[in-house]
Amino acid sequence: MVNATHNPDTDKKIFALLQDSQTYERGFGLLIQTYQERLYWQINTILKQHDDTDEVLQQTFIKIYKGLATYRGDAQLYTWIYRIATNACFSFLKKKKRQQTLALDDTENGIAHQLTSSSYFDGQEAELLLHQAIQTLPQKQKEVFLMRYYDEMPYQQISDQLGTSVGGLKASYHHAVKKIEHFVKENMS
Amino acid sequence: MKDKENIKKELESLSPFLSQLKSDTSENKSVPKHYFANFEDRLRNRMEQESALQPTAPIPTKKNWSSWLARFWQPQYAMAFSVVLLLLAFWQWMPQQNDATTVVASHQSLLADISIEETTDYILENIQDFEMTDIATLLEEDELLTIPTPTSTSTLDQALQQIEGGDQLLDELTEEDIEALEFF
Repeated sequence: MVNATHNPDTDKKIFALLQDSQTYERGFGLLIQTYQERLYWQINTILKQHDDTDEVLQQTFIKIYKGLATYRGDAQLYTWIYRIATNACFSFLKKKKRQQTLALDDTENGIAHQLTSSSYFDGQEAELLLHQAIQTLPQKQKEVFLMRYYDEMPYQQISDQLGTSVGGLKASYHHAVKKIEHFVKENMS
Repeated sequence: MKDKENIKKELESLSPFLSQLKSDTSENKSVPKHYFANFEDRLRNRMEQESALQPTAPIPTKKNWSSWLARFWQPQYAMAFSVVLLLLAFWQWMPQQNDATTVVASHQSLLADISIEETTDYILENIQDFEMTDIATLLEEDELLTIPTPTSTSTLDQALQQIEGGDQLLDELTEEDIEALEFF
């Protein structure tokens, strides 16, 4: 098993391994090791519960495995992965909510009603809106926000990875934060 | 550690709302022991199981005409055929309509330059080419009276007309006189 930590060269190494069918599986293994923890917490901020997070994390990696052929390396690998994970979360929540609603239709004992009205869904609203807001950001702002907000990376490290000046990154992050705050506040019920 | 503090302070200054949201979601985070160490193995097992459950491609069966035709007994094919037939019918009908209207229009434009007098003269000169019933349907009653009726006179009648008092001469002719005429 490969132990990996993320650094600017890791994505290049993963991408290179994925280009060759001989090393494809090794590349995918390195991708899992590199991003599993980061993605777990990303998903967990939305779904909260470990079992749900574990299920969606597995689904995300399966989707990544199936979709790697379409990844052309034009966006940061993590940005591409992040979008898949977020979409998987939204699909999971939709499915779960639909199941709860069906259960509510079928039973009168009130248990399902307790579930649907619990904070499981209501408490996630701000977090869901935050992820929706991130999806609306331009590519560069999205990348900077994810690295700074979730990964708490110093500007210099982001600069090395994205090839953008520190001043430019600060401006991008500032704009991204303001846009997201505005989006979440405006859309919260 | 210092970097993380700076990042937190930066977010607080930029957006206290997002800073609060982040600190709320960061509380009580923990995962089961060895979760990440075992994750890849569990994932690979699941992928193998799912790929094993994937339906294999159906084995092609021997084709026959009835099975080939049977696939057209579906609503989408019926709809598609109906649309194609309608389009063909429309395409067939439209040019004919256009041709008919074009011919009538061209005839009307040609006749528009000819006066009634010219038309009448033409008809009278070529009256033998027209059926009387056709002419009668086209003309008004008073116009019909103005058209001279063609007369058919025999050679004998024409000869008698040229002779002064021909009618009287004809009355006086007896059967013997007629028999005596050479050309009878």
